[in-house]
Amino acid sequence: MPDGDRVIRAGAEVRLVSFSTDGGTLAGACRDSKVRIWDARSGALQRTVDWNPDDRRSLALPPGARLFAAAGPDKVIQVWDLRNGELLHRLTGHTELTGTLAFSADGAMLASSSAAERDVRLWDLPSAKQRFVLADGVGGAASLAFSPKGDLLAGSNYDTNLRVWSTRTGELLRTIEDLPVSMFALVFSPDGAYLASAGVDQTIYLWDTKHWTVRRRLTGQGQMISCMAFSRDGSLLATGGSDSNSNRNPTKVIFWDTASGAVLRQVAAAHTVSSLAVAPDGGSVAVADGQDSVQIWKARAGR
Amino acid sequence: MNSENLSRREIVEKCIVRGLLVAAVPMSQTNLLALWQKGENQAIRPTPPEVLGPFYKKGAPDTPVLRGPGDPGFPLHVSGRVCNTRGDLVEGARIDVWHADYYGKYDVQGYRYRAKVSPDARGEYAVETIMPGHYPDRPAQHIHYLISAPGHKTLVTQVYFATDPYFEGNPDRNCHKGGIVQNRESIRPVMLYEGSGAPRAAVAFDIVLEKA
Ligand SMILES: [Fe+2]
Repeated sequence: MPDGDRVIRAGAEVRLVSFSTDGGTLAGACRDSKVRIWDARSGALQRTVDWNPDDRRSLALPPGARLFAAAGPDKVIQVWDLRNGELLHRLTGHTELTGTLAFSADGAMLASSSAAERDVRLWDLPSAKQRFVLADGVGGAASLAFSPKGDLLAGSNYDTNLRVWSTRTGELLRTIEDLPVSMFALVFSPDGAYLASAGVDQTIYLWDTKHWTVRRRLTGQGQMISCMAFSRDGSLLATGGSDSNSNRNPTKVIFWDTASGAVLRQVAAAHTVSSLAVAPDGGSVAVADGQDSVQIWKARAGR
Repeated sequence: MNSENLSRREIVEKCIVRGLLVAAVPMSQTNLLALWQKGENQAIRPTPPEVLGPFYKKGAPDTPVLRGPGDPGFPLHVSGRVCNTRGDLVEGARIDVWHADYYGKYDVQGYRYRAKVSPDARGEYAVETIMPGHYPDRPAQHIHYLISAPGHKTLVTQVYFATDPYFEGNPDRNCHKGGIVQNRESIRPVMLYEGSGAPRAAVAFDIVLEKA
């Protein structure tokens, strides 16, 4: 199993990772229904937040790691404050199982998808009220992403289309039907100028968010792409892979120079990469790759 | 009174009075009428949905033949009728089918074992393919379906096979094993027959769409 430049042992499979805003701590949402919070430098466990031990498979851990959401077979979405472990909200309304969940950057909104309902719900978090029910495609959302300002919500559906909604009006602003295969990962660049999408066809598409045309393509991953993360200044994009035969097959993580499209570093991963987080200083990347640990890689080798 | 002005109910009542509709067992006229109407209103159950999965690909070729010459895998014929919940033929239905190859791999670069078919004038469709392989993350053989038709709700479903070793010879008991199959009805019996001197498998899968 490939080990990172540093390894943080979790004792349970780590599914999502996120750094605190100051980079001092790293949170990991683990398969044993716990969020573990480590000192990002030493890897020492600082705190653990438990969530319901039932089968909550849909999780969201936004950048900043202040909030955490989980949805399960009861169709209720629970939102926790990770600073004190307090259960903040129980969002009810879905009548079928929810899949993908995503927080807005400021934590004021949450989007949730249900494949069976063929919609995406947009929740206002301070009030825990449902703001809009947005009609989506027939396949359920593979990924949901809010623009940095929170004015847009983008969704990639397993019907292979990308959709962009206004979070203010609920209006469907754009449906992009150009892609023949599913995009598993979506993320906006920190300046909001681009939406990056990547998935089955091993290519990273950078969409201009003004005209919704492809401005750049990054190729070279050589496998399906399961997740992505930008550095805070947008100069680095980290992408994690997935093998099309099995989630247990080895993959790789690539750190791209966003401006030139050059590969800054490529590292091995044990299995499908389920989550990536770039440290706020841009110097390292945390990788969850189906192991009971988090791999921490320097963004550039040998520095 | 012009017969065109008679309601269906009145016509059925007339039939009962004239002995054109009779009960097999002694039954009052009222009960007989109620029974008839129940039968008429009985909708056919829509085909239950299954998940779309990550490997749908747009633009599959229009062909009923997915199996290439010399392809590994048990030859399989899948056929059925497309109708709506009232039993009416559905105009303009398009059926996307896709599945893994013998080794359990989906073709994501091209269109191997991916096709689009349209039902004929009688609402029948058929595809010639192979038994899909098993893939480790979803170890029950299946064929994906995406069916759209004007005026109807798009159906996303899958066909599973009762003979699949995954169900251990007892799909009734093992249908929900591993949380893969959503509906028992999605697991279909397999019929063996001989074609061109070789054994072949056939599966019947009717598609019942709901009105939009
Ligand atoms: Fe599949």
